[in-house]
Amino acid sequence: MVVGEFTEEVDVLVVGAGPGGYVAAIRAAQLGKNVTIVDKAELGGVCLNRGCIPSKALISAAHHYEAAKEETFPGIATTASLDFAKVQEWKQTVVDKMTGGVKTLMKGNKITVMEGEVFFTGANEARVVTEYEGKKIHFQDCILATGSRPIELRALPFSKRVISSTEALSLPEVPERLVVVGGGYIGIELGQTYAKFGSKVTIVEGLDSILSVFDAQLTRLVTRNLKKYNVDIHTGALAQSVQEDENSVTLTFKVKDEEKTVTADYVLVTVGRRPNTDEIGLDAAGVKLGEKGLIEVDSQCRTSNPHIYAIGDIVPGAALAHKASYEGKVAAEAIAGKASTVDYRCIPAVVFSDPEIATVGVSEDEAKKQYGEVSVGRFPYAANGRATALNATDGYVKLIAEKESGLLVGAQVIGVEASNLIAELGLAIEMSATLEDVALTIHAHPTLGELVMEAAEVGLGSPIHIVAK
Amino acid sequence: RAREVLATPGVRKFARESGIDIGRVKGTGANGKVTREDVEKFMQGGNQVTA
Repeated sequence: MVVGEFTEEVDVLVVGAGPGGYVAAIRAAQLGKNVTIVDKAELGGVCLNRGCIPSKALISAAHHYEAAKEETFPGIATTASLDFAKVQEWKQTVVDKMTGGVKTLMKGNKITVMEGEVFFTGANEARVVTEYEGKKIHFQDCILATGSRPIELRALPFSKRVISSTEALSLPEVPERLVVVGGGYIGIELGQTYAKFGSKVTIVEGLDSILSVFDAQLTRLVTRNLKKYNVDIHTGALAQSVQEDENSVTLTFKVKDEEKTVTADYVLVTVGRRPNTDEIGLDAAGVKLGEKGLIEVDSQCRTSNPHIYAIGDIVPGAALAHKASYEGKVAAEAIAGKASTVDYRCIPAVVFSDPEIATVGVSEDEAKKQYGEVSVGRFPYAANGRATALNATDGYVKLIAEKESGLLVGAQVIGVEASNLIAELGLAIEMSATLEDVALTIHAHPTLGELVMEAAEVGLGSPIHIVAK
Repeated sequence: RAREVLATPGVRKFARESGIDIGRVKGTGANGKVTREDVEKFMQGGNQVTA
């Protein structure tokens, strides 16, 4: 204990400045609270610095490179060249702009920003340790938003050539060969991106299919495109060990009883993320941990310590940035005495694969289980004028409704701009809209949005632009 | 399993802030959707869901 240590009093201490934490801080400040936010690294958290934003920047660059290189567009001659260092430089400017924006928002909302690690020393007290000093903070309420980090496999410890998504986003050059262990959305997004940049990519997935949380029908087009880029996909494959030398790394994996090896410049391990709930003194704070290191919370994101709230990747549910931000607002409002609770009917999920996949609500199988008979409306991109003019006709929109009422309960989109099309469908489900409501809404022509309207018409049995079966 | 209460996010918020369990409000909208007026009537003693 430092003699004469100064204790700072704050209304709300936010621990972690990711999409959950910084949004929570802003909402708390809007509601009149004196807020301090602490992060050990940088504003914006994983999403802005080592996740959503940089990955989408690289995906975008890879897409442009592919379009310029592959003569995919009739009549456009190509002479593409790639300066990957410049791409990386540009990606960093994107990240810097976004994190700079968060900094401005913190300032504009009069939120105190501290860089340091937080350790709880009591139910209402924490120490913030920076590189040079320690500071004691006494808080009325606290919002924990410490996020998650990549899982390290015991058999494949991180090293110079065994890397996590963080390093994969900042490679100085395009690797000649890249092995991706884990075919979830992070692995597929990064694997496909490097395949487009020219890497020879191998995907090693333990389960029977890549992107296994999605329907097989939905992921088929992604698999097809990966194969087009000469990506080798091994499913039901268990990574065993790695052997690393100066210039390469060899992964040994097993498919059934057969042992296989693949040599590459890097092995990227994307098998999941684990919550950052260790090493912050949750015991001292009286915050109980639940299963898998996650913190159990009530409908206002309150932990077992009534003055400490937890949001984002450290609480149960999908580990998605938009879920964290939503919970951040709920927690801040609860602290301010509002009746806010976590209350949503659906959360969209998006994979920025090629083509993009986006889902919201329940799948067809799940809908049958929950609601009995269902109506399904599926409409192909190939029958949409805008998609055809974009030369991007792969994919479809599928709507799932309760048969009796016509209530929309789920939607799946695969195809160009699926990530944006899903917004309307999320709103429709939240508004308790029916297929008819969607079909009767005039959608601008020619747009991809019309796919949604037409899929609703198919579900109602009266499609205009395809012939009803 | 019982279907979730049908109501827009804004109406659900209105019920919450009024201290009303929206599951107890009888909805008069399409498919039994609970409207803001339904919640208001409930507060005055009407639109109760019969058990």
